[in-house]
Amino acid sequence: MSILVIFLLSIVFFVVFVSLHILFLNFRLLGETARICITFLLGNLVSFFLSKELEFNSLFFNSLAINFSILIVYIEFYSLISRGFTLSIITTFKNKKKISEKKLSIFYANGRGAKWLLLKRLKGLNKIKVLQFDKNMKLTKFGNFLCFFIIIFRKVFFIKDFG
Amino acid sequence: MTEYIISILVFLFINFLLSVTIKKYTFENFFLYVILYFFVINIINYFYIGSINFFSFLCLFLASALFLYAGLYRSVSVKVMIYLYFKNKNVSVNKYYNKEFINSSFNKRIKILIKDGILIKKKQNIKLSNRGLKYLRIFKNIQSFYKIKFSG
Repeated sequence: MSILVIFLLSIVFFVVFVSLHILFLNFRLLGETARICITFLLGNLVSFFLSKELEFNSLFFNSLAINFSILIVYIEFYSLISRGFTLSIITTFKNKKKISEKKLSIFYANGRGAKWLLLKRLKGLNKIKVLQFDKNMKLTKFGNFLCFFIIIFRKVFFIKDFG
Repeated sequence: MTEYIISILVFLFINFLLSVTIKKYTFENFFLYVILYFFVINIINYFYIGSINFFSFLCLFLASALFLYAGLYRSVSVKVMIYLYFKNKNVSVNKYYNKEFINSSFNKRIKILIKDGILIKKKQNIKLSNRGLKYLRIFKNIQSFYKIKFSG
């Protein structure tokens, strides 16, 4: 019975969260992070009041853990469709049926080119003070510190290569 | 509390065994392993432990593991960071783009797409296969639903 209540609370959260996120896409004033945080909070509020109404308050925290899992999977899905590197190679063929192997990196992402993607990522890292770059690039102290943990996590998961 | 720690350690140990035994242990293999692990541990939980808290913990732990693994394995930013960490000096952006990025990121993804039958290489040209066209249609629909003009 308890598991069904948890599922019910998380399904309600999921419906509210995704619907609000899609609705909030029109509010350009909000950044992507703010949009996801607000909708996640509102979804959990609905789930919390529902658990109170059903007198299953104690199960809300179990549902909250599952809601966090849903959030993680949703962020992964959303970043895949909005930032996906491989996906963008496929969508490069939207307007062209055939592309020569050498020119694929030029036509990448609606003609923006593969270099645009690299610069976009470097700008992102620069913005959060992980690296400094103009013509050359170098990790900051914070970048080195962060990288140290990234390497440890790669070792914990036994990741040898890059995909 | 013991079952929480044991489940994490067992998860990492089996992952280690898989990464050693499987020749090319990719994200897809890891994803399948996570799903399988989730089911097996929850069956054990249902019959022997019977804890809802443990079920919730497993959901959160495995979703976080997937998220972390995807980032550590595929992320372009992580790749750049690790490259710079080991170089430990200024690296020219243009040199990195021409020598590293194009070969070990861009061309590698194209090779994977060709190997998976999503892209077809004919002479010097590359085009989408029927399977690739199906994916393109799906991606286009999802992106237009989310009002995303292009990704990358």
